[in-house]
Amino acid sequence: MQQERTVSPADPFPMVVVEHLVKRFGSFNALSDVNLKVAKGEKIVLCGPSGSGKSTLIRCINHIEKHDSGRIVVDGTELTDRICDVNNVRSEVGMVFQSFNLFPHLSVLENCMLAPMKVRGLAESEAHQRSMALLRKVRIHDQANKYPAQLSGGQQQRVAIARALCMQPKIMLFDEPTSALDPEMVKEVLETIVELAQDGMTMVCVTHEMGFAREVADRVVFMDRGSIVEEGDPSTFFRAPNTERAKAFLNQIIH
Amino acid sequence: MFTVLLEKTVDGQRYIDWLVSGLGWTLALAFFGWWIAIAIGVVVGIGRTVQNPFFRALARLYVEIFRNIPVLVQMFLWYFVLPELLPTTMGDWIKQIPPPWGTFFPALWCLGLYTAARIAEQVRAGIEALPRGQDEAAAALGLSGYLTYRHIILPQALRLIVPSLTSEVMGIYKNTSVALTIGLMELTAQARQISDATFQTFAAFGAATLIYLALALIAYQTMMLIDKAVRIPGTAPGREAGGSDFDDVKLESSLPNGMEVVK
Ligand SMILES: Nc1ncnc2c1ncn2[C@@H]1O[C@H](COP(=O)(O)OP(=O)(O)OP(=O)(O)O)[C@@H](O)[C@H]1O
Ligand SMILES: [Mg+2]
Repeated sequence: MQQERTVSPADPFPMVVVEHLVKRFGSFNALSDVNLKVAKGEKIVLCGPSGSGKSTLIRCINHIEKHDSGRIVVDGTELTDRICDVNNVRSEVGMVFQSFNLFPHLSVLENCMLAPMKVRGLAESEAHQRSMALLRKVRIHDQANKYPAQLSGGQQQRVAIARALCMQPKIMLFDEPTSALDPEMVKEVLETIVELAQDGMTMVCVTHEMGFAREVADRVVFMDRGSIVEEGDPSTFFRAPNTERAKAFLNQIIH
Repeated sequence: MFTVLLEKTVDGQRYIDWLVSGLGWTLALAFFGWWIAIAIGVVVGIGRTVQNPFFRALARLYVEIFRNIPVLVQMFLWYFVLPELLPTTMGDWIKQIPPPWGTFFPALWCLGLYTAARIAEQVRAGIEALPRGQDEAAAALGLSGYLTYRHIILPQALRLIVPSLTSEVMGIYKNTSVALTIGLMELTAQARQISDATFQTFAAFGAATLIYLALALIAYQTMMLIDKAVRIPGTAPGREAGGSDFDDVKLESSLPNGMEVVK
């Protein structure tokens, strides 16, 4: 665990390599020349003002958004348009959305079991076992047979995390996992993510929760207007950001 | 009033037997036509929403053709025109099919394909009504397009459209009466035959009307039951079915106040 937290960005086999990434929506450049390396076991917090391209960047990493140019390599596989590559990469990359996006017609347990069985070809008993273990990990195993609509937001988000973990991903992407939650539920979800980080999971998390970033992040990456403007370790970044834009942003979120 | 139905016909049956036989054909048309319509409708509805522009265009073409030509005209096309268009041997073979089946199959085909076009539009609307996050979550888990439709999109979209499918169920069995124009002795045709034979127009068509109404009620209730049975636990009841339940509850609870006002 200790080792993984101190892993250097110069790792010769990074988990994710993003090079000269460009993503346009029409004529608008949502991402312009973004470069990012995520080492195995590294935890990155991505922050920046609204519309700066944070979601777009992590959505490009598992090809939910198609990039226009540049390279994305996930665990040695370059993302091209080849469907089998895309599905392979996606099954190695877990994603947690702001709005949970659980499947409402499936029970909590079925939400977790579906992809392992259909994509990984796991036997039902094995998928069941794995799902229950991970639901226990996020402390929601006693709700396994409920449906998403019967759970609170915090519970739903923890199920979403368990569902992603059931695919045994090599990296987890979080897009503002707590910003759709009532304040009293933020903590339970953040704690779950912190535990995951302590287990050595590689993760990229878009969030404005600074306490969380301080506790977990190896690196904070600050984006503005489609580019990475500044990055650094959390204590330095939050205390003394280099750029004016980061200063302005931090002033805003601290009030 | 309906006693005439119990009288003997020239062929030794009773008139009510004619009605029952007509009802049988009506039900057979509606029932089997419905399954054809659902099967094709779901496939075409999916086709309307897939990425591939060729399949999308094909599905669109199907819907536009079968939904916009009047059922009566479609009935004539299948029965009179199709055998002429086919190679002579095949056309002749079709014309040789003995009476009830020679009209039943074109009518079945016609109603099935017409209703399929209407169902396809409902299916498309249901699919498009789902939040985009569902697609994205499925994709993020590595589910292929097929798996996503099979396990995520269709189960939700079909549940969503159960209330609006009710009117399609009613539509298909009402449209079965069009089959009389090509000579199938279904319910309406039998009613007319009774009316012609007995001059009891009111009794003949009155009985048919009551039967149609009863069928409508059964269809409606069945669809309500299905809607209830497939409802996702924890979600709000559907607008049509549950909405009125909810109003009833509200009405009851507000009644005492209302009565006070009256006093
Ligand atoms: N599907 C889309 N079509 C057109 N423009 C889009 C689309 N998705 C995002 N954008 C634009 O791209 C830019 C970056 O969006 P993105 O969602 O990545 O920002 P963000 O940093 O995640 O912001 P937020 O903090 O509000 O979530 C925004 O200006 C947005 O309007
Ligand atoms: Mg965002």
